Amino acid sequence: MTVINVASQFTRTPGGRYKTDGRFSGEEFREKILEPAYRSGAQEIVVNFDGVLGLSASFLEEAFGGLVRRHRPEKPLLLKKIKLTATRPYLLPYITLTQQYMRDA
Amino acid sequence: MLGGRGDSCGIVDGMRKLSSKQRERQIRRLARARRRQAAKNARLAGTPQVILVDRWGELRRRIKETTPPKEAPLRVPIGGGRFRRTLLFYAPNAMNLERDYSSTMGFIYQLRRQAFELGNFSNFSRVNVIADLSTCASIDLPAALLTAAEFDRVRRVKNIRPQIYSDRWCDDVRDRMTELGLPDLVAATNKPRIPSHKLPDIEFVRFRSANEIDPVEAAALQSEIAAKAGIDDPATLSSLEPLIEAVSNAHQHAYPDDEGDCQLPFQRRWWAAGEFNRASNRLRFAVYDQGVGIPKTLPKKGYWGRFQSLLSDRNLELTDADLIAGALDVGRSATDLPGRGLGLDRIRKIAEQMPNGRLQIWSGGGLVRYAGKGSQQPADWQRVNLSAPFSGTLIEWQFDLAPSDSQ
Repeated sequence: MTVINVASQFTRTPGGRYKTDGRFSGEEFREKILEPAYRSGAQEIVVNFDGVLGLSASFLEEAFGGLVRRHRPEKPLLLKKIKLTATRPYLLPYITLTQQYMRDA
Repeated sequence: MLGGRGDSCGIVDGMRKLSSKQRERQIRRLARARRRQAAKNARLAGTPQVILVDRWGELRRRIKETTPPKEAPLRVPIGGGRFRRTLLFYAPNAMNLERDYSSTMGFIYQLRRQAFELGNFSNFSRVNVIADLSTCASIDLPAALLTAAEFDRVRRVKNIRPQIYSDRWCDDVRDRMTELGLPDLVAATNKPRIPSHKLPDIEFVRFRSANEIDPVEAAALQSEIAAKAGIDDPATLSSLEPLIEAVSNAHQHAYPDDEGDCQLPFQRRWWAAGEFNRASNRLRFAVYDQGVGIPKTLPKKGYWGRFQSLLSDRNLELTDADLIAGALDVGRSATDLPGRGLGLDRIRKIAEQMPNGRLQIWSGGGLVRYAGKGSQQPADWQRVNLSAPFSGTLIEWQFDLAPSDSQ
């Protein structure tokens, strides 16, 4: 199992969609953190959002939806493999949102 | 009063060389004609009048009254019968996009015209342009943000640092603009002579601007909003998401590369500011960009069909206000790439979730208002077709904080 803590391993302030948009984009997170974790062959990838100050739809869609798009044949496996967690109540809607983006991708 | 300065303009009358007195008479004649024409145009268009000042003594006295001798850089007469052209235009009594849209935008139009459009005065460094705010008695947050962003654009495009003489401004306007950080935003060359006083019950979140989606800047803005509102944990405010979404929309969609018909120079920036009213426990913040506007950036294919069918289902005609409301309903914007435009939908979430939430979007030729479910107004879009186009997009959120939040 691989655990990714977005706040400590990436940033407390995730940004926009693409790297060209500015710092801490969803594309950057996908390439630097998510893709290597997926390629490492871990049975389960747990992404923890605790500690971030807020998340944008663009960031989540590009990071997680983008990952599914890049590995479309393995979509069912990806949906099963990636677990999203957060303990702070204000972050819980983002988990639902991210799951929806992964399903819709 | 805010103006730029530079060298004088020469006047040429065909091949004939004129004496200084003749030249002065001719300039005054031209100025009178132009003033008459401007007054006529203003009457026809219902916009504030542009005054080409040729009563130099009067203007000099006025400038002397408002500035101390050591800090009097605006010396309009330059001697030897030569003088510098000065354009003076006034702010309306109430700068408020909601209550007096046409007058407020008239002032902004004048500034844009003087700075970027008028052929004779296109060289901004060669004329004095005085935007006189002393006639303005009140200014609200969206109008203040819009005005400050216009001044910022002028100084960036024309590469000038303006001077601000706020001595004769109304206290409320001076305090508000100074507390919001106008002198710092436009890199004014002088400091206000009269220090600003904190307005009772109002905490201001100073103007911020950047040309990229900078989440650290957005988080700092959220932290400042939370600090002003007395909230311990800024994350609970949930304002970062709509802020980043608005900034993302400004960055990704507002300034398309292929938009060739825009007359005004793009700066590809966004501006933001906020205020918290302790008395009403109400928070408001706004993000503004000077791009082409949401209606122009809607997709021309792909989701466009779905979008149109949604609008036709409601028997709507496609005004700009409908397009903005429709874009937020459909949740799609400029590009047809998967997942794009999701942010527009998220922008209204905070207005839905927070007590007495309200969202207003001015863009293109339309204004849409959305009142959340907790609000006294119905939770639906109110569409307004603007009397004059609003170049760019301004998004403003307002909501009440629970008493426990702001302790």
